[in-house]
Amino acid sequence: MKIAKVLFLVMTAGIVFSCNAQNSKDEKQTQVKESDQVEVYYFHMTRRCATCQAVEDISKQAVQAMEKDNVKFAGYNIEKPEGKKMAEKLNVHGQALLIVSGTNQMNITREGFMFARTKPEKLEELIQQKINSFL
Amino acid sequence: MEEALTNLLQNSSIPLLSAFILGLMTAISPCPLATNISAIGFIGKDIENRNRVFYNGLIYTAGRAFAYTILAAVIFMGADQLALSGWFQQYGEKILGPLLIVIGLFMLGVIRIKFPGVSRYTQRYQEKGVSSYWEVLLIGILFALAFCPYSGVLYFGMLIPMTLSSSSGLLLPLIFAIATGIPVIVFAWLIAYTVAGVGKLYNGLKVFELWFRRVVALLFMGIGLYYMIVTYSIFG
Repeated sequence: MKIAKVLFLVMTAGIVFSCNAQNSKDEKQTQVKESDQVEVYYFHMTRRCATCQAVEDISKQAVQAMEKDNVKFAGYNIEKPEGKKMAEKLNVHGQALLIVSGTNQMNITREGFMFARTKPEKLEELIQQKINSFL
Repeated sequence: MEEALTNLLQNSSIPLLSAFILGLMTAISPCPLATNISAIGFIGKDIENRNRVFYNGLIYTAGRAFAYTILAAVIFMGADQLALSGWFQQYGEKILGPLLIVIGLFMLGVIRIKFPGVSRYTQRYQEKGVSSYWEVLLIGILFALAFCPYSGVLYFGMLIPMTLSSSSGLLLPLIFAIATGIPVIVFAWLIAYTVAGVGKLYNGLKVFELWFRRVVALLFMGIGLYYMIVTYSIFG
């Protein structure tokens, strides 16, 4: 009886561990898959200035120029429900230009506003460089 | 000009200079143009006395300096910078729109409030139209806090981190405010100088000032309406 109990425990433990191992393998696979994807997010308000518009245009252009299926651009108005939801998810409170890959996040809002109108090529290069650092 | 300032900012290792450049970038960018035009009108409307216009400009800048420094101090003491920045960027101009319309109506004398104790003050304002330095100071504070998208990023995203890490600390918002005020003071003075010259030509400076003030009131209301349209996404 005792042997049966021990065997039962060993078997249960074995099943649990193998499931866990499978899960962590799955997680690993998901993680790899997640970090393969890079999203460039631009959050803005309803009122948009010339620089804000330029930040979005240049960022979109930089992503499109890379011609990669796993790199995407999305713009959100944080005053609209969809944008608000996304901003909460990424912990964004105001205008922001983010590069996100899995759980990693880079905030390049400052650079975006500094160069979008004065040195657009520099901003484009910077965005592509940051995206490549994730790939 | 904007490009030259960006280059200067990139190469500047002196925080005081960087704060000054950031202020100039804020002042000359098209983003806060509407508030700057309103400020120029408000500061320059006492055209009968050009010294007064200059003092108005200084007081207006002091108002901006007060607002920027207090805000930086609040963040310095531990307030949530991100939340504050988000709030001001989202609601600053939304509050400004209706407020400009109300101020414009006051200036035109359409709204008359008779509160005990302040009636003397409002009466003086409505009859003579001369603004007290307190009003100019308040306009400075109000316009500074009504962050437009661009100035919001420059202040919260660049100046505040610099203020928090630099030994110059709260001196930086002060320098930033002075730089945002300089172009406004110069334009207000130039306009007052020109308009006063034209008024003198027609021998009716007082009448001219009255009409100039009415134009400024209408300007306030027009810009207020503009802000309401763009921030509340009226008409789509």
